[in-house]
Amino acid sequence: MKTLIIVAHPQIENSTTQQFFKEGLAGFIDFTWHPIANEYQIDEERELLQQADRIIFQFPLYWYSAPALLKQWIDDVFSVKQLDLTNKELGLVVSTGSPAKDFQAGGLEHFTMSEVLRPFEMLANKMKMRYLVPITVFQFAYLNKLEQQYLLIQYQQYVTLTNFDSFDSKIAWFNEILKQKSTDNSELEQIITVLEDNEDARHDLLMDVNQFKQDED
Amino acid sequence: MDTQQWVEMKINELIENSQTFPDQAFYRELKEIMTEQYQRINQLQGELDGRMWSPEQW
Repeated sequence: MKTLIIVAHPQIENSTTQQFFKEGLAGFIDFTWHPIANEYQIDEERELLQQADRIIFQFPLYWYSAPALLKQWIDDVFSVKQLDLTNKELGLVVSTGSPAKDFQAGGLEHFTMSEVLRPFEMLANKMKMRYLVPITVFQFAYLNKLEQQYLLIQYQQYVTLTNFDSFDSKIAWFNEILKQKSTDNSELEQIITVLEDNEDARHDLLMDVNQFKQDED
Repeated sequence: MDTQQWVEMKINELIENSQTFPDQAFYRELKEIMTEQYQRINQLQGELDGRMWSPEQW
């Protein structure tokens, strides 16, 4: 799977969040980190989009929307007639300085993040793309180390894992990385064996339970 | 020590001895997902026991 990350931040070098994500992808392949500049060639941008399977818009929330930079880029590059993105995926990685609790009915902002991001969902629908569950980062600066580490792995999977919501896929993802790390390391190899044996046991149990369910019907 | 305890202990060591932030994040989340894997196995075993139980076998 090829992922294109469109990073839209007016001051990307000063953004701790964006640097965190960028450095977090070290060692991974099959993705393109593509910060948007003020000047771009529309054809080149369209070519990049067409080469990708998953497209991620990554931006800080400015006045309940993307920074003007990204809006302008979408206006210029997206086209129903001249750009075919059918069956590709559109993901969002959005950061905001407000706490999560503000984004709900009755909260300070009154609306949920799903509602705020609806225009992107509409864009995906119009382009016949599959809209992915967005990653929203609330108050990055206040995240503790554990929360940051959770976010990092979640983000790595968002960029590199085809079916990132599925438990099976996540296990396969950890297994693959463990295998890369395990060269000449017998303890890691033992952990891999346990992980795989557990999966076999789990799948056998699932089959048995499903058999019982079918027999009961 | 059973296998679950052993694997948890080993991953804890890996977390403690990680040299980089992403490595530590990886092992921490590996521990989380393996805990969930064991939970799912336990739940499935429980469900299987429950479905196998039948008053006719009393």
